[in-house]
Amino acid sequence: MTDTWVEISCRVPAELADIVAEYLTGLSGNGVCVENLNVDAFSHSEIPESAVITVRSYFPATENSADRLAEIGTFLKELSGRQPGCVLAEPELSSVSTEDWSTSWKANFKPLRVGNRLLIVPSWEEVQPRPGDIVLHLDPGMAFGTGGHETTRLCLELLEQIMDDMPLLLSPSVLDLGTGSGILAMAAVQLGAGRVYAVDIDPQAVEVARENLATNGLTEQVECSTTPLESLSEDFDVILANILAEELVRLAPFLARRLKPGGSLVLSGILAEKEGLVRTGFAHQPLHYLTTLRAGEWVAIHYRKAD
Amino acid sequence: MAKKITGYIKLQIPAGKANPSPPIGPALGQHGVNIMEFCKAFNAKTQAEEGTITPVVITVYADRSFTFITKTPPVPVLIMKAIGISKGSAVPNKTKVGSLTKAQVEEIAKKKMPDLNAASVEAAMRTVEGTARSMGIDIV
Repeated sequence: MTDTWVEISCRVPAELADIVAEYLTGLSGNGVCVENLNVDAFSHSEIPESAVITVRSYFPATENSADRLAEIGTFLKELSGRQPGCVLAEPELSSVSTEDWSTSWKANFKPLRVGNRLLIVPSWEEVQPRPGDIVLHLDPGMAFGTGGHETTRLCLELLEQIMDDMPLLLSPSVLDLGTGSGILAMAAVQLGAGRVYAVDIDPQAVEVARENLATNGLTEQVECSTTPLESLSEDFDVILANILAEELVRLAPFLARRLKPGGSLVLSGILAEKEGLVRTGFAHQPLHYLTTLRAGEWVAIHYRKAD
Repeated sequence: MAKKITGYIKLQIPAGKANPSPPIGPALGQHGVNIMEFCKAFNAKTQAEEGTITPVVITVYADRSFTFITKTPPVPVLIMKAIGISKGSAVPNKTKVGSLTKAQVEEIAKKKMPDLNAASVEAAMRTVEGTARSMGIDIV
């Protein structure tokens, strides 16, 4: 594998991006990056289309970069000649820091302590748990719930409190709605839950959750499926719903219905500014509001169903 | 799960051959996601089309988890496939590399419709024709 690379980038109107991408891919053989944005959004519809695209291609630093740059510059000039009134910027050359990308991403994921006892550990890390620690082995991947996000952490903290406060009820049943990576379901089992049911409408998330359950030896204890909440007929002692405010409100009657009398409902994935929306949305359900936990811009709400 | 989007990446890479080298490494590395997991999943999904340049859109969430979707090959790739050449003209003004019939334009437009922001097949055909001309390919 080549260790050192140079980047040659071309800023072009969006309608020419595919042509430039195809040309650069032909030269480099390894493809191109046509967009790389840092965003702050809840859905793809909130991400604006770019009118100008920077197409980035990469070449081994051992090549003659100046010649390559000139070759690409000639192509862009010819291409702009075909577009009335279009003048394309010169391509830009920059060096790429040498890095082993196959492993460098792991620096972002370290063992993570949540609440009093939970310890989330990536597979490549060695830890010495303290007495009483509950260790969950989890690698980040293609399902939400690496443990590093406030919405997950708040749920885990409330779950630990709920399980600790339930000494008389042996092995409560738990529903993890929108399970993602399965992290909450796994924590529930380790904290003493009996039957745990993890559902997610995204089949890919369910697949990932099953893999994570297998890694942790919890396959037998947790049932996973894509069954929507509205289709469930079983009632639970604890329901964890880490989705989004509007969806929680939509599901309010179903969540209340599936909770056993005296059971706990944890709602998470709620921006602080939307706490009022959720509280109002659940006001007419047979639930007692207990508490709100806060972390950063997020809140999680704990309700209990009347006995 | 409460998924907040923090990163949005579009790549065009050979199907079935993803590895941590550029362009994938620097693009995904910037967002701190599990690059090896992406390569494994992308290669598994695109194995059947190995080598075909495939657009892929990667969405990164606030906890650095991610998802991706693959799209039909870019219009220039479909054009080249249709006329049986491996490369567009580097100098489209001077070098004509081939020609495309209206029927081929329509076929490509229909294939690419889901990915184009085109209101109709006719609008998508105009996009395909424009791309072809910019590649040094005549419409006949």
